[in-house]
Amino acid sequence: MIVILCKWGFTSAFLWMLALIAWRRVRGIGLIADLIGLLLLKLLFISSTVMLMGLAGHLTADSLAVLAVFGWTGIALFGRQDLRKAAQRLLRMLIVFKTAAARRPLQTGLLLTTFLFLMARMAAHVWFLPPYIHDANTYHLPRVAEWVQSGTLTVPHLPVKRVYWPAGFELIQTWWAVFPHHDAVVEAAGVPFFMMAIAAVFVIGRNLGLQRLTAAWCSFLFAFTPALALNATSSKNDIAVAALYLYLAAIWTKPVSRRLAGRRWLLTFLAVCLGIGIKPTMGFILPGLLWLGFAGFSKTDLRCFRRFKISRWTSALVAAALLVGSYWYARNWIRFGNPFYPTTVRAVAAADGGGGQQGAFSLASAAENWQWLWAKKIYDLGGPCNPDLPSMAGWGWFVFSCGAGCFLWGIFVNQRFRWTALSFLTSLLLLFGWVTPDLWNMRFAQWFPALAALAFSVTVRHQRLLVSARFAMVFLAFAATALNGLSILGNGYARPEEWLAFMQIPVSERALHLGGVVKQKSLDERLPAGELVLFMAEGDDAFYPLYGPGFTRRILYPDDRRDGFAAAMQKYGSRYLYFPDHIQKTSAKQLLADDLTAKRIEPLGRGVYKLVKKHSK
Amino acid sequence: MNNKFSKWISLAASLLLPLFSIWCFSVYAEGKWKDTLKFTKNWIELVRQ
Repeated sequence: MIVILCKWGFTSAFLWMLALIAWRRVRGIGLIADLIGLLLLKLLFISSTVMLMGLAGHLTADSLAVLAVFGWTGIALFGRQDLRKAAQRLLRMLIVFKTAAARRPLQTGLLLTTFLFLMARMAAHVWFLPPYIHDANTYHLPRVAEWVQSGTLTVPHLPVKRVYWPAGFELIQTWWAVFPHHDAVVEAAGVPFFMMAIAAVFVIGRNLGLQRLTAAWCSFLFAFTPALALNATSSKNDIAVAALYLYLAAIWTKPVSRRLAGRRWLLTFLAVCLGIGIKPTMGFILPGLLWLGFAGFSKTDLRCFRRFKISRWTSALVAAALLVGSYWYARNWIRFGNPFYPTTVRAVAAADGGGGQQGAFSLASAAENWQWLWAKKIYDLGGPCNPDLPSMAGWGWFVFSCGAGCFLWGIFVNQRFRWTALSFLTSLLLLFGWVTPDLWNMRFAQWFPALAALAFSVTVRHQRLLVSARFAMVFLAFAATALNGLSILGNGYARPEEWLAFMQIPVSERALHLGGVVKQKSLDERLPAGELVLFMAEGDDAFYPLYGPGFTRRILYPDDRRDGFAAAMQKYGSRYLYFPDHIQKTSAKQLLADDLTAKRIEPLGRGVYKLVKKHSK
Repeated sequence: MNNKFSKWISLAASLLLPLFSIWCFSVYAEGKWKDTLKFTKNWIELVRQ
């Protein structure tokens, strides 16, 4: 364990140092915006490193550690000066923090306590719960498992075509799984994005004219939004898109000087590429931010291109961003002739379904999603909020109670808020037009509730609001946020007894029970580690738990089973078959029955079958 | 005149804002209260155990 942590810490420290050196060339936009920029660079370096190592077939903890050794040597030889200057700058920023905190010890203490509460909640969810979201178990995490097992960016062989969708977030999840060769902390991949999102709301608040403390509380009002907090540790990638969108909004809500215009364009390019590589929804919502041009765009943003020169660092950053943003689309284009495979994308068409999403902008979808949101989803009914947000928006108590009134007030009194609101609303409408109307699509709009927190903060700081009304609103916001805090303690799925059960299982064995029937232990007893296991599924099943929490099992879905499972096992070089009880497909059940009758396979119990020796190769 | 008018508007808005927000809170609570209570009870039970 100590060796694993050393390798991980050593490699992570190298990427932080690299990010710090690059950060010197992009900083200057503002204290917190700069810190988010540093985090963005770190996430970009993680993504590109994992991708390059995967493409080279060396995605292992040892290879990453060796790379870090070379990296540290390079920094020691050529980057010491840069690193020292960047570190000094960072230190100066931290001193500013310390000074500001010392001026308001009580408020700082309260903010810190709130932050620690959120972090403790995240830590408990990451550590005690195995990945439990259906989509994550169906096609997100199987990619991580395959990459960690094979050391390459191979595509898992599953009966789900969505496995070909962009996997930028999985690159970061892989970073959390490849060193321990285990998924114990894989859900932590969403936490840096959660922090990026709430910090971005702070920056937007400051750009709208809020004082530091008000902006800080504003960001925490947003942080407690159930949709956001629940998704931070759900292994789904929507939190990343939300964070990058809010970061872009943060750096474009205020004009910058000519010296910084080029840097802002570069940061915008990096964030957009990272987002597009994570999920195409980034592309859907991005045009909405064009309205922010009225708040944060000036002629200097175009003048900076007159004396346009690209340094080596800029070229490297652009190349890394292009790689992580375009790889998935290029791969699909080469392999299937369609960058968005399995979805067929058309410019504008009627919503008629597609591979997982409708693949076209449709006014009918926009209208239906919009109507569905206000008629039903915004009430968050149908049980506790969970990260899937089934038939609910997950915006919680605060947005519903304080959002609408404050939104109207904010629109009247703050011009920059007006453009921000218009941007967010346009993005929401664009999103609604692009995505299939279904129960779960509000996951894609986790960034939107930030508008309610900003509206509230703009309103309560407005001088025309009566003091008594201000106190009443603050009290109501506190109560609503406290209730949101209760909603995000659990994950909306696991009952207390299930939490207790998970807590009692050692972390090395903690995994979701397949279909609630088969336990990992029973699979471990029947399937030797490292064996290739063929498995049968109904289509959209949760395949990921089959890999085991330590990625000990290799799995493969047999497409060709015309001659029965025994023949397929021989063909694919496997001795084991997993055929769970819930499979209803009659043809598959008949093939299994034939193999059993002919004694080509023997049952080992719990849905596991073994090829009889005389039929093995 | 304008100042007076805007003063009255601010006063009315200041009064309406909390009232409207409390009404919104009650509408949301009507559907969500049971969930939250049940959820809190479950968590208290978990901590006890």
